[in-house]
Amino acid sequence: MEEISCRIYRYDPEIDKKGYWASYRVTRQPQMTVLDVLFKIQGEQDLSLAFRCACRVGMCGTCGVTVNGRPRLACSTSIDEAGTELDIAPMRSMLPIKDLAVDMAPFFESYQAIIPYFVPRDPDAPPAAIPPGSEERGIIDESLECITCGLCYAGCGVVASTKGRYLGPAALNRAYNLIQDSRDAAGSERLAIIGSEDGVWRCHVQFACADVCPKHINPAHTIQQLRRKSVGRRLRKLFGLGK
Amino acid sequence: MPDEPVVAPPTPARAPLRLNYVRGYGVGMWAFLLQRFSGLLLMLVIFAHFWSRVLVPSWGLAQKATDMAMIVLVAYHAFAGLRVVLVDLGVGMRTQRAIFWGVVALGLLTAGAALLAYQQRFP
Repeated sequence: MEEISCRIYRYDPEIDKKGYWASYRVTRQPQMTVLDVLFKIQGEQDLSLAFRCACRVGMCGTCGVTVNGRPRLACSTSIDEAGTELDIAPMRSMLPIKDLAVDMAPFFESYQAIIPYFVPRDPDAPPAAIPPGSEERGIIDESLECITCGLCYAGCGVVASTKGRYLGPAALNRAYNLIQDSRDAAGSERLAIIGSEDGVWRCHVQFACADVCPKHINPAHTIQQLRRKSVGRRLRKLFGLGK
Repeated sequence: MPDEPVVAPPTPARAPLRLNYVRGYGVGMWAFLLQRFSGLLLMLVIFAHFWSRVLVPSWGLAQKATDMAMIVLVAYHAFAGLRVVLVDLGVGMRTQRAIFWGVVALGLLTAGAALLAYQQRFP
């Protein structure tokens, strides 16, 4: 049987002063994923190995890790695709809590910063439905599927180089979806946030976010759209044409 | 039947550095890095070119080398800049990989033609 050779980044804050790489070998099985490899190591070789997972089918976005330098969902990355020489590390730009489990607070803090929830114009009015086939819905169709796995945040070179000050692709993508919603009342506020120093203008269009998104969203595209909106807002302000 | 556990003692090593993530970079990231580095190199080559003219009055290998390096770098950097302009305008957001390879091909072609012309003019 073919073997998978695996290096995993280990770090236990109660024991280790700093992280280290540990080597493991696992027998390959048909249709194996990186998550299966982690479970096999945890079950048969080292019970202390820590990692996150929940749905195992690429829906929940919990099992984000770095496989051979690239942020991926462990459950959706097959060994056929990743190869039998694996380097598995925690996601970048977020500190490891233990082994492959990272503290996702920076990711969700930037998400929180853009007011990630719907703010109705009239809180007492019944919700107005936007039909799935409508033009308005079509604008955000491609960017709706985000599962907040944090892979885009981990893959983004600007998030890494600004040490998390940049809002990041997922937060900006969410802001775009809400700004495009005609029923939402916080668009202007959000445009001010995303147009700030750590917003859309920080993006260097490296497409890392689009490359790693497991839902094939292209946040680089939505960020470009937001830039246009941000310029429009500034021009309107400049000429006194509203917010 | 469960696999025979192969217990390997952990090998202490360094924490993940940025270098560990480089192999996962996609085309867009390489395009970004290449443009920055070609820009920086171009700046250095222009200085070298200038000083080679000032310090070495006679026509020689130093001038020719800096001329040629400048031709190659300008050709690549200019087309890569065009890609950035397109992307900033929202053009080719889905085809950026193909655009990058197009930029490389156009840069190489232009540099090749310019080098040929240069070689004929200054053999």
